[in-house]
Amino acid sequence: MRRFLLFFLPFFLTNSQSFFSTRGLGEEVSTFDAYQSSLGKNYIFSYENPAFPLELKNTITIGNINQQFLFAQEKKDKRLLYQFLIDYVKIVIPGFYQTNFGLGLRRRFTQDFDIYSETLGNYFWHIIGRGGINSLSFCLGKRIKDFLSFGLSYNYLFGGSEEIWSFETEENILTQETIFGQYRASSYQVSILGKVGNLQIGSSGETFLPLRYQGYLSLSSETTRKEIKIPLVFNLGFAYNLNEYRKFFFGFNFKNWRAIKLEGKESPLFTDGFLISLGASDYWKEKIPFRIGYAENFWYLLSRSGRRIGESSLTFGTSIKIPRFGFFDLSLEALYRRGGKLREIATKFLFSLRFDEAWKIRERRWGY
Amino acid sequence: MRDKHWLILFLSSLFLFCQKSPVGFDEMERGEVSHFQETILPKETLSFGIFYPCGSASSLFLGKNEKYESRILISFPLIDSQRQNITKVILWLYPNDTFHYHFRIYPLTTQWSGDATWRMASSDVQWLNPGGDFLNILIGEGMVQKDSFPLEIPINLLDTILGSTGLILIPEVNPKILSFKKTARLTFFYGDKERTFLPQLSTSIINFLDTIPPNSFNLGSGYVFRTYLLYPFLLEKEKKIAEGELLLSLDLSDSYYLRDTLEIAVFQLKENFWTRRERTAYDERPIAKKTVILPNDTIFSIPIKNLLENWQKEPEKNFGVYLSLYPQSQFPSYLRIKNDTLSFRIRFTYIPKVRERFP
Repeated sequence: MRRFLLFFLPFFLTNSQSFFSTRGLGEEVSTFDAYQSSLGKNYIFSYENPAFPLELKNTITIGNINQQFLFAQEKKDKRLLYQFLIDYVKIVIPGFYQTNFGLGLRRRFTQDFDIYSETLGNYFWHIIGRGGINSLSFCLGKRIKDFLSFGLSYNYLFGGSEEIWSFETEENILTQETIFGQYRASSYQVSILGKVGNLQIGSSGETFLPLRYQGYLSLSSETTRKEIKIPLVFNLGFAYNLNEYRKFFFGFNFKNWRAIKLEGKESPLFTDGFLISLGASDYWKEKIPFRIGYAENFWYLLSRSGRRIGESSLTFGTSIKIPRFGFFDLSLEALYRRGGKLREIATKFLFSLRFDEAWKIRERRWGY
Repeated sequence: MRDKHWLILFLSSLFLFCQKSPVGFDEMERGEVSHFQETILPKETLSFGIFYPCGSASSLFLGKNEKYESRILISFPLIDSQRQNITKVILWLYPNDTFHYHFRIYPLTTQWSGDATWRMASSDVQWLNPGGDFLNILIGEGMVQKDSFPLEIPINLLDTILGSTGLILIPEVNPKILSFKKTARLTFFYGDKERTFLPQLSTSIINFLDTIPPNSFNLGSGYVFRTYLLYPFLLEKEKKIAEGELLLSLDLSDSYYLRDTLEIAVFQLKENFWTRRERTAYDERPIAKKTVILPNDTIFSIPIKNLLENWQKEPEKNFGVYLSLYPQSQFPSYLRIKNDTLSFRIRFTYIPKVRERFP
């Protein structure tokens, strides 16, 4: 055990996500929990959709641990990095009159990075970014009939980032500038989920109030303020139950973010982003669930060369039932990301605990 | 054996994670992330020497050679001393070095202070004779031999000592310069009793006996040589200085030092040099220092990032700098700076303002 911990020590000391996180709002996090991830990141059939699920009997509590190993290559240069974070917590409670309430916290955009410049004479830059934009969501779902539900959610977007720019030699840090950023915004989401025979169809739309950014440069004590207008996000999803065990999923996410306005002006940094996902779930020997998914995700950001940043990911997952508790969901994602001359290969391990509790008034009976 | 495998795995993983290849740097849309290097030369230079008060020095210096003469002044608080029944008077000196050294002691006649120099008895009174006013009455003479050196003073000269303003130690010619601890003592013996006095004032006064070639640049202590430099330094405030250094090259063929480790300091001037010239006010706390080990360090740089930052912040307060040995009141030494293409250059590196995520 000690050796095991010793081996993983360096992994825990490093922390970085995509090298593209330096741009725009950073990397958009499209995986929430291990179950959703293993079906190809299907948004509509995740608990982030307030209309999901059509029928909720028990309280669902999810906590997610995300571990990511990233290998990046740009021309001949290579880096290998690791990230570990708890990035998703969600609770959905069934209420009266076929309603359900949800409260969740998740990372929405990641601005983690760790970048070195080329050595320029004796000098080089080391730039470390930490933080991102989180979302605290309050959800309300209402089932109209057995086959139709509506959802509404309010998301409070908040977060901060810290970029430490160190100008160094091999021996010393010569000077450091830290840029602190703060983000505040809100968004509203409406969604619908319906069922026709064995087919479930869902859709959602999210609209944002302006995102307010406040930056602060430590050396010059300068403060800057920016307003960023983020257009609508649209989601569509299908799920088809072939039989009791076997299901197929399709998801589509579209962001008209070419029209993102920075201080009222469009920026050449942004483009329209979309994600297409396919997923399937089945049971091995009708006992052990397994899931497989595939997603093509095109970022809302362009690489510096003007090319779209795209990623292809293949996911696998399963669930282990924990008696009197719920499920332990696992997902393994293999991801290939490219943009300009930069290539990234990442593996993500997601571990989610899904606590499944039927809240009941327990009567105490004498004699037990 | 299995342990070794784990170790190799662990070390290789460390190696992988610690690599610093520039992956992703080009993807940053933050303008030109670079650095700039510039060199400037002084627009005004002048080197001069001054008599410097050595009262604050940790030692006393005694010696006379072809370069320097250094005398020691000591005064003891003898006013309330009992003069009857004194059987013996001994002056105790504590040399730091133990080589043989001959000197004489005379009584001083002019009031002096810790600010005394070769020319001045105090900050506002000059000696009548540079190097100290004393009666030509030999109080004692001796040869320093040990680290604790007692010198018996004839009792018949006691009244001369009591009537004087102190004692002056005058050295014989010797290639070396001797240093003493400042803990000299004067002991009066009354039969089997004794009373010991510690100095109330002690200092060294140092004269430079050699000639300095005109237009040469020197840094000195004891008799202090300073080099004044003024640089035309202007840098926009949004730029950040990463490194700054002042380059110097020494000419050891015409330098004098008895210690192999010397410290060179940079002092900031507080006013325009040409108004009061050698008496220009300066900040006595050095803004930068560099220890040089001789004779190896003949070309070196003094880190002056703080100084450049001060000039960048308040360019109107850039009155220039003094270079000198530090502390100035230490062992008599001087170093000559070569007047070559390297010396007095300031080389500095700065970085432009870092750009935020959203320009």
